[in-house]
Amino acid sequence: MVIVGEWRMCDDGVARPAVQALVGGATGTQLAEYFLVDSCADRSVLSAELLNHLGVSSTGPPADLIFRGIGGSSEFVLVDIVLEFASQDGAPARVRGQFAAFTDPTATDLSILGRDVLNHFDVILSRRNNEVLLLAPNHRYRVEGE
Amino acid sequence: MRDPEFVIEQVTDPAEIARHRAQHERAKRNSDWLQTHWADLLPQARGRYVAVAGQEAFIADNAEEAWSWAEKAHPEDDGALCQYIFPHTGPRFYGHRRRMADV
Repeated sequence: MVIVGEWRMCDDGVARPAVQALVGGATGTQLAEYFLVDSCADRSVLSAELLNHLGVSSTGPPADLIFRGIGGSSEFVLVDIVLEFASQDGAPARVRGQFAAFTDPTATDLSILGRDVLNHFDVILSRRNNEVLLLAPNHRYRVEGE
Repeated sequence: MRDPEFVIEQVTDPAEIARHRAQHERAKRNSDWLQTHWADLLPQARGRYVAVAGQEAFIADNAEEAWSWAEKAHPEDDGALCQYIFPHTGPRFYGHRRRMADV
């Protein structure tokens, strides 16, 4: 299984690695969302606007779980959702579990796919080859010299 | 700190696969459109929300208004996108970001 993303042109003219997912909650409604592939983020986080429009019930995080970054900490909640990613062979990949979601709508423009999900894949980000690939364990990559 | 546990599976139901492909393609069309039309939306979209549906954009003051436009203007498009647009440009550090000063 190979999940195929893209280098997505953002509002500031910078292309960033992203992957599209269909995000669904318990109600069955699925919304399309682009996730920044962020191998430095410990956790995946949904944007607040996606959280609010999904209408899923959320729970507060444990007191000892704090999301902290360069600029400080951010408020978040936890939601049980399913992410569906397109794969190269056409059969989508589903990731089901409890994800965090920002509550501040200005905290991020894109939802974030962090290492909690990325650790399940080999991640290839090549701007030179215009590739964003997440390889599941039944696929592998090879590094070759000229 | 323990990572959350996820179940990862591949969809095998042909109807589910077809449904996913169709919605994915509609969202990709909207995303491709947005990526080539930033110049039409900026700078007025900064600090606001952009919805894209049916390869058409709408700038709103909040996300609810943006989603509401998408549902009314293009009710058939389940690949609509909505995105907050940062009020400023400059290098971005995700996770949690703040505006940086040039030095």
